[in-house]
Amino acid sequence: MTARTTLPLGTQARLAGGDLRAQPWRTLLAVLVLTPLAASWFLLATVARSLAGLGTVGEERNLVITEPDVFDLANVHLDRDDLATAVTAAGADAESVSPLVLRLVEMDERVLQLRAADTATWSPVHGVTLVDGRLPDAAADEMAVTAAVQAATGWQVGDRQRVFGTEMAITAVLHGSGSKVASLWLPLERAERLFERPGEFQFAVVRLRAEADGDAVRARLRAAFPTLLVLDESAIQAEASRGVRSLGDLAALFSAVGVLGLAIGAANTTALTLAERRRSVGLLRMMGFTPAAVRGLLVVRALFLTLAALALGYLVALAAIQARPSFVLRTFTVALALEWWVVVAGVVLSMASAWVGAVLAARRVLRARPAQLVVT
Amino acid sequence: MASVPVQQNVGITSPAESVVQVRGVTRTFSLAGSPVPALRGVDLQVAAGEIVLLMGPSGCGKTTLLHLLGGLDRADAGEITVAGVDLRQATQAQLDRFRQQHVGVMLQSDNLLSTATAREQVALQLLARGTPWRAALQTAVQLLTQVGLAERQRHRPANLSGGEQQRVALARALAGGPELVLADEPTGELDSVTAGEVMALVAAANRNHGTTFVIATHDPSLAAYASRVVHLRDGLVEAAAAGGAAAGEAVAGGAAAGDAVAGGAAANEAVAP
Repeated sequence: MTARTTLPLGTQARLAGGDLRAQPWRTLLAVLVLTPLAASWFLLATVARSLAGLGTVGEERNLVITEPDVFDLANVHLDRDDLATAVTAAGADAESVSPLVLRLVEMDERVLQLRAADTATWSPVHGVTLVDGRLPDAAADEMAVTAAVQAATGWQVGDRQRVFGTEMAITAVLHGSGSKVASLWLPLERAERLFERPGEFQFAVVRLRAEADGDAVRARLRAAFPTLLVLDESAIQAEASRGVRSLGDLAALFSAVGVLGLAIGAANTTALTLAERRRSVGLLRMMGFTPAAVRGLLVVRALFLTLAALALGYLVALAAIQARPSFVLRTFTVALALEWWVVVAGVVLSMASAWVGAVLAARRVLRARPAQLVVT
Repeated sequence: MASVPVQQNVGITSPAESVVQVRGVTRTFSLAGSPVPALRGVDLQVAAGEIVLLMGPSGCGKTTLLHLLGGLDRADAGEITVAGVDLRQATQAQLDRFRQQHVGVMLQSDNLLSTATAREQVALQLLARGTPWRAALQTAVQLLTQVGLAERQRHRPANLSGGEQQRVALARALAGGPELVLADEPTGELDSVTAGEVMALVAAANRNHGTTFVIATHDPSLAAYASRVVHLRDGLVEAAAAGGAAAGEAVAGGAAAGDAVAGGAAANEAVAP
């Protein structure tokens, strides 16, 4: 027989698992104490991740040609010729060049944006996606609303609302974010008839190819439209999302603190165990278990508890996200999704912090002489 | 039982076969800032195969001496050599190895880990001594069978009687075949019949495998099992006397060392790993 200084990991796991199984209610309680910390961490990390992505997804490839004051209808004079000019200037770097009409409309004592574009561009260019219903028919009196409008007004698919004197049926609920979070959407043809200004619009939106040099295209467009503004849509969104990003940074900070909380929670659980089981540690030391071997058992025990708390916390976070998959923050719809790498990062960070916490908690008791631990 | 008058080194026997050699050992604790001497220069030698009882009033230093002999604590001064290991000079790692290889310990109560079954308690000692876990569990069952607890191997301490707990503790202390077993009041919380059963197992292990025992006790009836009784008072060895086993006296508690032991294990069966 060879005397041991440490135990094989499998044996540690078996002994620690047996110890936890021997006291199921206490184990459950310890897990439940850690679970809210784990769930909070998953939620905060998810929110931080979602906020960090605001104003960048899909819009970094849009260049917008427009007037300095888009809401002054006297300025609206972009037309089909301008689109053709833009197509020429952008050349092969453009995936598409499409018009966008914008109006402000007062409904139910709310001022809402009404946007009109070719329905084929709604998703690939403007980043709005169909959540419920079907896209409006340009030949009929139909429109779509974003989820934020629906949440604010209570309007449902099938409801009818009067817009600029015409009763429109709501056929779709869309998901839009940033400046498009709370808006009504019409097919371009229907808007042209409604506003009786066919072929006139405020924006020409140039969708760049993924590999295009945005700066070069912007320079060419500025040369082609010297009196108009040529803007990055992502820059507009970034400006709008600046305050929201701060919240994202705050959420990231809280998630970092959350990991620390898990470490403290794991250390506290181990410390409580040690306070109650000082004599047990003494008995193990009396039998010849080295401090490293006992520490190994305590650490594996803490890791098991943390892992169980993480599993429960993950389920709680997942349920919370499914119950409320998105929320509106200022003009942004924040879509929550628990990404796999957030889960992996959470597990790795939490396990590491639990390891550190358990080691720190065990340090003092393992420095004591066995006689001090077994004396009652 | 013959007694000898108080004299220097009364605890010392022939050094040639000594498992325990203690010379001039002192240990002082601090209580609320005040020094409390527990041992004030103890000399003791225990030969291989002896059962030595340490007797004396509470606070005389019995438990402290056992802790020092088991490498659970360190003496302030003096010399302690157990199983050839100089415990005063040993490093922490050497003390760990010493406890793994040479000594088994029984305490008066709360001897067992509350969350482990009887066989796991014994297997843990074997695990500490280097036996793989599965093999340790198998050997543990054999040891528990020898102390009459085969049917209780999967029970936790809360479901074992005091006597059963002490038998588990004895099986654990003997697991791996240490040269020396230290027992602190092993029968202190047992009725006389159960105490007799536990001591019969001690005697059987001693007789069949030559295991040396140093037992701290208040119970004079245990002297019947002892080769020698050493009296401590105020941290010093006061006197030594031959025990009942050495003198050939009848075994106290009604259970002769060769009698059957309750639970189905005969005391003259092998109690060894």
